[in-house]
Amino acid sequence: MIQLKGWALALGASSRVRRGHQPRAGARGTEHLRRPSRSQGHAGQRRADRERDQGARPRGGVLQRQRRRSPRSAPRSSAADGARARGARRGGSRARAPPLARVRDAQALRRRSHEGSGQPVADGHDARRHGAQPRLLDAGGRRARAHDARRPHLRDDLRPGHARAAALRPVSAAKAALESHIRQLAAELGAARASPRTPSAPGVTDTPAPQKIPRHDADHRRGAPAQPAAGG
Amino acid sequence: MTTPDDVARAIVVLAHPDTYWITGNVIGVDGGEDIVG
Repeated sequence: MIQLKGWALALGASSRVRRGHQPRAGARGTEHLRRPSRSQGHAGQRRADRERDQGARPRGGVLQRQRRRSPRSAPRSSAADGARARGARRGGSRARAPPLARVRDAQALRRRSHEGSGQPVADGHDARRHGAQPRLLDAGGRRARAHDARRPHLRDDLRPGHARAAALRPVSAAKAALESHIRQLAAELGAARASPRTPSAPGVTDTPAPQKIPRHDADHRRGAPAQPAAGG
Repeated sequence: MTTPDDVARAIVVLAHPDTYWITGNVIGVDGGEDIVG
């Protein structure tokens, strides 16, 4: 208790230290007990607290609102801020984006700059090898959002291992359209005692037309096994 | 690789009058490529 009073007298805040509360010697996390709480009363005391807090701030640190400003324009007066805000309201389309949005755009640009460097990013995509990333629409929004590594499930088909799935996307669409059409025809022509049905032969059929394509034999041997279900 | 004869045989089956009860269906003629993905 004597030691606690010594702390309180040194800080000039003996009335704010609760009696009977003694921090354990050697216990961690007792820094907040050694500092007096912020004053609520006198202006002079509040000023002293503010100067003390600013003195405790690490050198070189910037506030959140100063992050995206250039060093020349960082010290900005409140009058200049007001004039800039009024100009933005009058300017309409020339209004500048809020600072936080500019920070987000800058982060997205940095992410995209990695993609052309030939180094694969965390989700395995390398723009130099696999092409540029398409921009996806955000859920429920109209603004396109750049890809990032936090949503790899949205571009699984663009990974190298899933390139075949991406290549079969038009095939899947054609098969679905064929099934839909034949079902619709059956529904419409059933009254006329017609029974539409169709074969579906996806893949490459060895007709005279593809034989006119140079190197079609090598491509077919590499991409299409003779009996897919038998594994070759 | 699928040959024209493979597709022709499937068409012969589907065009046969005895299969009139098959309607609105799509018969895959791909050697099982759908199965292996």
